[in-house]
Order: sequence, then C-alpha cells, then structure tokens
Amino acid sequence: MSAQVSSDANPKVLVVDDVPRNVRLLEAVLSPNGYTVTSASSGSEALERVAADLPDLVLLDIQMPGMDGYEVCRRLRADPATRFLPVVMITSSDTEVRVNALEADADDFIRKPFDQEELLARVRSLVRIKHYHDTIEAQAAELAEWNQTLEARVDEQTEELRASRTRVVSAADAERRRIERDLHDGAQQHLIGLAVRMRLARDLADSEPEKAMEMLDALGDDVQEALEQLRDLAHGIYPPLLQDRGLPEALTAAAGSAPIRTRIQVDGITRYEPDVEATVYFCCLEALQNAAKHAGEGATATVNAWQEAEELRFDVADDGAGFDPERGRSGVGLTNMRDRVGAIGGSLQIDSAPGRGTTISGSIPLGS
Amino acid sequence: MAIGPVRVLVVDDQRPFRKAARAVLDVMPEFELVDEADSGEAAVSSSASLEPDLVLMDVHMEGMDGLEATRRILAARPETAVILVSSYRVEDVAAAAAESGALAFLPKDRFGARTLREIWASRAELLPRTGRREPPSPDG
Repeated sequence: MSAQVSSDANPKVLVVDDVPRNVRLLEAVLSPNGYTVTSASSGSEALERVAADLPDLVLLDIQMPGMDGYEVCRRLRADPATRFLPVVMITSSDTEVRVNALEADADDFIRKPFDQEELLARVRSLVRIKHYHDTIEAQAAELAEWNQTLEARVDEQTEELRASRTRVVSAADAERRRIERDLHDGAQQHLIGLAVRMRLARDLADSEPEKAMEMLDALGDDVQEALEQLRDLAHGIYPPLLQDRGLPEALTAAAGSAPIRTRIQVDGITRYEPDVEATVYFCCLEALQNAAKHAGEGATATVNAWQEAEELRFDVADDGAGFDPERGRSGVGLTNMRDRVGAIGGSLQIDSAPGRGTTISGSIPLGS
Repeated sequence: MAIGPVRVLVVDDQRPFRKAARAVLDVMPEFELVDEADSGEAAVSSSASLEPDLVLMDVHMEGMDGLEATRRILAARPETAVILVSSYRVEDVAAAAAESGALAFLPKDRFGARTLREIWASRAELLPRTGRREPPSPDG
C-alpha cells in the first residue's frame, strides 16, 4: 500500500489552475501557513504531479482547457492509490457547478472569490483527516504484516510439533511391534508347544499312563522357560527396579549384566518423573549396547549421571576404538536415543574420534 | 497308494512347535516324521529331496514365508498335502493363505493327534475347497 504518513508540520498541497495569477494567489495564502505548495496548469499535468509528489490535498480549478476539474477528480477517485486523497474544488457560485463537483466526488468546494480564513479552515481539517486516514492505513498494513509473521511462526511451530509427534508416535509403534515380536517369538511359542504336548499327554493318559506322566514332567521345564521369557520381556518393557528404587539402583543392576565392563557413577541422583527416569535408563543401556558392539576387545565403559542446575545429565563413555563422527555411525540406536531424549525436551551429543573412545552425553530439563 | 506311514515334513522357524509336533508324530504309528525345516527355503529343498506326503507349514517365517514355500512345493509336487499352521488366529492370517493351495489352516495350539488324523482322513473333501486342482472327486 502507498499509505504514507505525511508529517503535520509540512503538508503538501497541489494547486491546479490554468491561470498563473490564481496559482500565485493561493500559494500566497497557503505557504505562510506552513504548507508546501506545488502547482499544475492543466488536468493532465495535475495527474502527473499527484503521482510524482503524493500531495496531501489537491485544490482543483474546475474550468480548464482540455481535461477539466471534474474529470481530474473522477480519475483520482478511480485510482485506488488516490481514492482517499482530499480534493477541494474551486467553483464559481452557481448551484449547478456545486452539484457537479459533489457528483465528481470532491470532498469540498470553495467559491471564488474565496475567503482566506474559510479556505485555510477547510484545508486544515481535510489535511488532518487525510493524516488520520494515512495513520490508520499504515497501522492496518503493519498489523497485517504482524499477522502474517505471527501466522508464519505458528505454522512453523505447528509443523515442528507435528513432525516430532509423528516421530514419537512411530517410535511408539516400533516399540509395540518389538514387544509383539518378542511375545510372539518367545513366550507364546512355548505356550503353544505346551498346549500341544499337554493335549498329547491327555490323549495318552488312558492307553499309556506312564508315558503320559513322563511327558507332563518334561513340560515343567518348558513352563519355566516360558515364564523366564515373560519375565525378561516385562523387565525390558519397564524394569521393576527402576520403578521401585529409581535410577541409581536400576543402573547399578544394569551395569552388572551389561555386555561390557561398566562402572556407574551416580551422585546426587534422586527420583524423577517416570518418563525422565525411563529415558535416561534406556539411553544408558542403549549406549552400553553400542559400546559393547563397537568399542572392541577389552574396552570398559563408565556411566555418569548427575544433576546440574535444572537439568539431569548423563554420559556413557567408553575407552574403546572410537570412530570418526564425520563418516558417522548413524545407527538406529542413536536415532532412537535422540528421539527419546528429544521427546521430553532434552538433547543428546556424541563425541568420538578414532582411538579416543566414544562419549554419548545427554541432558534433560527438569520441570519446575 | 504307497503302503506304510504318511511321511511328514515339519516346517517352523520356532523350535517349540517343531518339538511339540515331533512329540505328537512320535506316538502316531501311521505318521512318520521325515525331516524338520526351520525356513521356507529349507522346506522347499527338503520337500524336493525327501518327497513327503504331508507338510506341516508355519505361515510366518523370516525370508521365504510359509505361503510362498507352499506354492513352490505344490508347483513341484502337486500331490503333496500341506497343512498351514500359525500361532496367529485365522482372521489375522492373510487371505492369500486360502489361495496357496494348502489343504487346511490350523492354529498351532489346536494341533494334535486327533486333529491331524481328521484332516488327513478328510483330505479328499478339503482339497477342492482350497481351490487347488487335484484328482477329481468320486462323484465329480
């Protein structure tokens, strides 16, 4: 929009008249009263000047050779850029001219010969209205711009939220698939085997009772195995020790059965929200799995967890082979850890170099 | 028809069911376990070399699944009877199971001597229903 707010101090007035004397007369009245006056001597020149000077008001003589004042006014009204530009027509006294001036949509008219005070009063009030109009238009434009920025920002954040929610949901789906597989391939298969062999024992109970008894005895081992697998699975879904005693004991216990020799240092760690504890616990386990897989023979690992300011921090460091982060190991494990930590507002860093071991560290903000 | 027990191949990547199937077949003199396979690929090659009369075929296996193995076995030896077994319920098994040419579908936990005998005894009636081209039925 061409909404320009002109300063009150120096309003610009365009005087349009084909008679130079009239122009000088108006200029003599307006200039000493703080108006910057420009002039045009024909209708077409008037339109050019309006476009070039962006005046705050136009004083328009009606009778001019060529394009007359009515036509100039109509054209100004037809152009969106000048639709609200105040136009005062300078008329002779007869009524018909006034009616035409109003029909051409002029804002006001002044009769010749004009009264100085009346002229200044009308010009002043129209310029003030123009100024208000410009201010409002500028504010509307600014508001529209803010609105757009705001909308863009909201869109951005919505998109970000949507993406992270999608990742979290698909991580949860993957977890459910894993549990389904574990259940299906583990305990369920044992139970199926048990069902089949129990039926068999029952079928044999009459004809070969001794064989049936033997079979039932053998089933005991399979029941134990199925139970063991269910217990492992339940443990993997949420370790009972983590739930009952928190991170220090759960991590210490996990270190005992970790696939790599592991030292645990957890000082000043208490209890936290279940999702925070679960995230730290599973990330540490995942990092230990990674370390066991990649660090190499004889490597050891250290798990640290501590609280710093309003953050729970942890790192899992090994003294093994390390790797060049540029050439990356972008395993599923690392992505999982990132998503898990990201889902509760934390972040994860990986620091490694060939021969320097690998340190995976994370920090999780603790809610107030 | 050959005299002697029905020769059975058991196919499952899960050990517990193979073990249970073996136990069941052990007490059934009219059936004889000739081999166990732990994948679709192993099943196809075992079927080719041992020519079993009956294959107990698990549906879900890594790599070549039971349906594909069934198609291949039947393409090579259409006279083979295949019983699909699964730890999933029938409604959770793909509709493709019905078009694989298998004789029957059986939830694994329902497997037993009586069921096996029943399916084997009625195999002539079961065949046309599963859409497999097979020797014409007596009144056919």
